[in-house]
Amino acid sequence: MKLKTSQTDKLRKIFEAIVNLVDEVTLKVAPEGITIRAMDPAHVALIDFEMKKEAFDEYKVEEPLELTVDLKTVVNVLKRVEQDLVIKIKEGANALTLLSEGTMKKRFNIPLIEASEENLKVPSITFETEAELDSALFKNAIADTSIIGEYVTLKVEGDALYFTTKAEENEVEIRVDKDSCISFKKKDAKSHFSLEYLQDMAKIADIINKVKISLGNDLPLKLDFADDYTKIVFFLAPRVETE
Amino acid sequence: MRLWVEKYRPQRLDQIAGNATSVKRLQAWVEEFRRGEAEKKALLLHGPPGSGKTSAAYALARELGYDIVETNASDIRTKTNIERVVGTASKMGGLDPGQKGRILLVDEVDGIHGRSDFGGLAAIKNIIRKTREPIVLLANDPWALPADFRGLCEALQFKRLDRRLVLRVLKEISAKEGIAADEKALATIATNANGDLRAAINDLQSLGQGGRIGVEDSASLFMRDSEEGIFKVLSRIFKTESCARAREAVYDLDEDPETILHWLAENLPREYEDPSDLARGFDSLSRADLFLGRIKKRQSWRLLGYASDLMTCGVSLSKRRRYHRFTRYQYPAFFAMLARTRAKRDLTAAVSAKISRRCHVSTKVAAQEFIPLVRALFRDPVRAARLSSYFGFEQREIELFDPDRAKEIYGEAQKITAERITTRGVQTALF
Repeated sequence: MKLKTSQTDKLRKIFEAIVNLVDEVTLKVAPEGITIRAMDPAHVALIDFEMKKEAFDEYKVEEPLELTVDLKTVVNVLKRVEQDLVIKIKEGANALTLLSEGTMKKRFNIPLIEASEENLKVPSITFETEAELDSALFKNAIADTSIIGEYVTLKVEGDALYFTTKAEENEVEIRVDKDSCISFKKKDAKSHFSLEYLQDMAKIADIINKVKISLGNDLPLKLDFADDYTKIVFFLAPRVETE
Repeated sequence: MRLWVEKYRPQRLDQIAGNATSVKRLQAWVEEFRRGEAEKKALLLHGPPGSGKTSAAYALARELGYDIVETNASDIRTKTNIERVVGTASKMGGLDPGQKGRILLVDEVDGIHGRSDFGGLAAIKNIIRKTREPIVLLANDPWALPADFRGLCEALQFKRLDRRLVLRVLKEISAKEGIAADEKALATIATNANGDLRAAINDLQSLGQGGRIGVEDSASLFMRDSEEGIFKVLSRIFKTESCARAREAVYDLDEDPETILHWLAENLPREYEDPSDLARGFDSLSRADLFLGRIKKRQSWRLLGYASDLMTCGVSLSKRRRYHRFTRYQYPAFFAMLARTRAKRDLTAAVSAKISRRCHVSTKVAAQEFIPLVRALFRDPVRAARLSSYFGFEQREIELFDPDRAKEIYGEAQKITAERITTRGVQTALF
């Protein structure tokens, strides 16, 4: 196996977005591309990630592989390498080798760990409310609401999408009108979500510039980030109102 | 290879072996919780290992269409970690609207203690007060928990399973796996398991690899109860990746460090498959052994900390990958060898003592340097008899040097001795 990319940043951002969710991930490396599916231990967030082989400068995979690695280690290594990166399997040593060649030639070996068997299914939910918008707007709104609250209410009412939060006397409301969205499928819907999780997910806005938000009433939230060769889908369980 | 314990885990509550009243109460409680009628917001299932606590919780979740969010004893369970998993799950809805609810399962709550799990129990208490989802806690010993903690839970006891019940399950599984199992052998497995169904099924699986189980196979099992402590400690040390957890594993064990070292050495190769993990593990063990040697020789007990850290943390941190599967730990061959050679070692000691007295050397020197010499001198029967008389060897002691002619030599030696006594003080030439 040999993968070569000149967009290490992109990979790093993806791993950074899930590093707080799970301790380890299993990379499924297939001839068509790589995929990751993971769920946090509290079973409230799920990521479904896919990067097609076209996204790489060089992609040589003879047979499908499943590589489980410690996520923190991978993120730390990705912070230390140059934009050009070669990923290989170290023969016989049960490790993933990352090579980056700038002025300095760097080599990192990350040990592979045994995967705990788990076949995750992506929840099948039909959403009647969807808004597609510039991902920078989404990240911005999450950052705005994060300054005061732990939770955010996502709401579609009439022709606008709202991000609102309240904590003691503080209140924040962000409105994105239908006209500012790329597409808008409306039906009034409202759910509450943990900002801690959303802040991490919003990091993907740095590398993919569109996001589709799917909402329901007290249903999980679905975020689709996609460009030509990369697809990242998040599901996040709602916080149920306690009255 | 799939573990039979998992493969045959009950799918429905009515398949759970034994403890019918408790199982029924578990189901009723979850339903009460859903209706908001439960008096206590957490249920504490307590009982010995393998009595069906985990299986009951999973079977119930499956019947109700619930998801299970679980924290295991192998995870580090500080306040932060408990809040991140159990706390979050207690506040949020599910990911899949198809699921009707969730059970938050905390395994081995009585094992949450010490510095590595700081604040863990307090965090669970807070979560119980506020939870929206039913919390099921598992413990072997409920009395190890603080009283105010127990006060927040409804306790439900799971009893040790009856031997006949265990036997019935073993028979069912052997039939399904197509194993020709001797009835007596299965009974031995059931008895040895001492009410621990999980242990019994694991034994069945490891003995049944070849497709048949005879009486002689089950004879290789030894009483599990007495060894339970060390088994638990071994699996803690081998499976964990946390230094603190490995170190704590031996705290409650009433065994001397040397014994633990032998158990680790015996079972390390059964656990660590990767040769480089194994090499690092043995490196740690051998260094621990060096320290133990120093302690013994010079009584420098202050070195014990190094020895025990190398044995526990050293071993558990020397793996680069995790080994999830079940390993059947074995009694150290070293101890078995000691037991087997006891008679011979006693004999050597007696002979050494006699040589030491006559030759004015320590018993150690006698054993190491003189015994080989005496054995060489014994090739000449006349000399052998004179030497035997001189040292005062018994017949069975002579057998140590010359088992075939011991009787004749002893007879000759007796004569020489008698002669020596009658000639009074006239020393017979030795050589």
